[in-house]
Amino acid sequence: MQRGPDVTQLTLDSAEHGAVPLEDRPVERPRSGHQHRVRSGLVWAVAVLIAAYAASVVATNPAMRWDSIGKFLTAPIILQGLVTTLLITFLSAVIGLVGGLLVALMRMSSNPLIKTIAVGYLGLFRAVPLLVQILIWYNLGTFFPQLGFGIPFTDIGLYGDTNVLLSPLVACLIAIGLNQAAYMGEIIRGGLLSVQPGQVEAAIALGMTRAKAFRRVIAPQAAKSIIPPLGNDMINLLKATSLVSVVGVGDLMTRAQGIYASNYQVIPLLIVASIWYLVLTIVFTFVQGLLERRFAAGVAR
Amino acid sequence: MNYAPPDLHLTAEAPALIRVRNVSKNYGANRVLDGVNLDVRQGEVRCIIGPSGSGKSTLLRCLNALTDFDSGAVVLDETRVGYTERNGVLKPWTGREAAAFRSRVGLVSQHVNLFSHRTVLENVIEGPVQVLGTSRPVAVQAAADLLARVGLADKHDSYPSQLSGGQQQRAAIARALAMNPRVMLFDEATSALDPELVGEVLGVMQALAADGMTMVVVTHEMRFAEEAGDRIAVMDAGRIIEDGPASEIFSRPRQPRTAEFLKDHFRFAPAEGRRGHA
Repeated sequence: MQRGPDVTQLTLDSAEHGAVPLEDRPVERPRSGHQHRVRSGLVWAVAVLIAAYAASVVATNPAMRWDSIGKFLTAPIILQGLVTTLLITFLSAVIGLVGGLLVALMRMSSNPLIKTIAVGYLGLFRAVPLLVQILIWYNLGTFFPQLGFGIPFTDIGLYGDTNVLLSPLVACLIAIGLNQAAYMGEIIRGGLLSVQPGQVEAAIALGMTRAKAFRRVIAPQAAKSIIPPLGNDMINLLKATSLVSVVGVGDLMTRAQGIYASNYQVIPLLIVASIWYLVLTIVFTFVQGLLERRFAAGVAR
Repeated sequence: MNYAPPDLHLTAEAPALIRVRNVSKNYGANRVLDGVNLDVRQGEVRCIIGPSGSGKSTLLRCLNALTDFDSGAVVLDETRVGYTERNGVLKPWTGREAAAFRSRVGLVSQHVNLFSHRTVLENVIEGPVQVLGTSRPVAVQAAADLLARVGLADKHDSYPSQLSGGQQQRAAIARALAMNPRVMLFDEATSALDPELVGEVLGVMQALAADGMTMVVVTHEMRFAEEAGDRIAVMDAGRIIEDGPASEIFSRPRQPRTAEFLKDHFRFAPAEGRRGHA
């Protein structure tokens, strides 16, 4: 049975190389720059070929109506949908940010009741699919015909008709905003946790109140680590607004669907919608880059 | 800062600037401060030494209300720490009152904690502008003077991450001084530094002491305590076991525990120039 290296063999091997010490023996160099360029050139060529073929298949497809894409891309009805999409994105982002900050602070509270409420909120709103949440808020009128404020177990108070108060747009804003608050809450909490406790203590020791320490020290430092996941989340939010088409709020996706339902040019209109989502995503990414640079101060270079 | 030579015989008559009376504090079953009494006179450099975990830092944090305590009293510059007198009754501080008190006490701690998102100059003017309401140009002028004093005149626009540990700690001292504090507290200000950087920070502290600043210094630097300290308190297990002039503590410690602690600390120090101890 072989146990460990064969000592006689090793000795013979070394003898073959004569008496050249290990440090003086030649080594195989890593791949040269020239070899590297040849290889990456090949990879590029294959990639371009595949892309060109895919593009030609799509472009020469008789069902691809380039003229309709051009026509509908800037059609007033599509642009109206675009504005609605932006409006829903913006308003639910605001609800999400404010609600998220609240959830994050509650989640980090030392009060067990407040903490439990935040944990429950996160669990519920992250568990139920957004599409289901939109449908629940939209159909709330079938469950609670009246909504309002009042004293429990009495008739005293202000009530209104649910279907009037919760227009499809408002229902969607509530659904997406509250869902967004759950995700934002975790992103903001992560950012707040990334601030060194010593930074807060230094601010307090300097004579700042807790509120001022939060504004001047914690928030700007947390922002630095919040912005990359926030940008990610905003892009997700933008695309998630397309779900409101199930209740017909009139966003970009609803409009595109409405048009192809009558002219049957399904793929061209989906491409129109895709182009606008792509453009908006590029803008969001650009803004994210600006914000990242703005809050990058003090990073070790 | 006008400097009055600390004449211990004269100043001993006036009430001390800081008076700690029978302060105790528990963390659960652990008694971290056990009936501590301490006086700090105006213009004095008061060192607190002792083994790790003896309660030195906790005591220091009680002085500027960063930590509360269970019983006893601390009076600093005729303010009862934690309370404000209203209608003849001592009422607990509001958050605002606690903040206002802390603005009068400078703290330099082991972990430097300069605001990492601001330049050195912005760090130094942050307190005056945001807390004291000093106008920005005035604060910038004062900050420039302070940064020159701690040897950082050329580092105004550097971020903390671009400075060495010693430079960061000197900037932190300038930041604390910018508030014109009545007292400066140093919590092991050099323990986290590389050995070759300790000297520059101790030098700044020594210059500050020579200017007549009242300083409470928790330290493991026995040389500093011996040379710059006026009186030394030795802590062990939450108590002050020995308290007296630096010359006495280091040459004739009365408590065996003090002698043992000093022996451990001077084990590797050169014997030359050291007064005999133990």
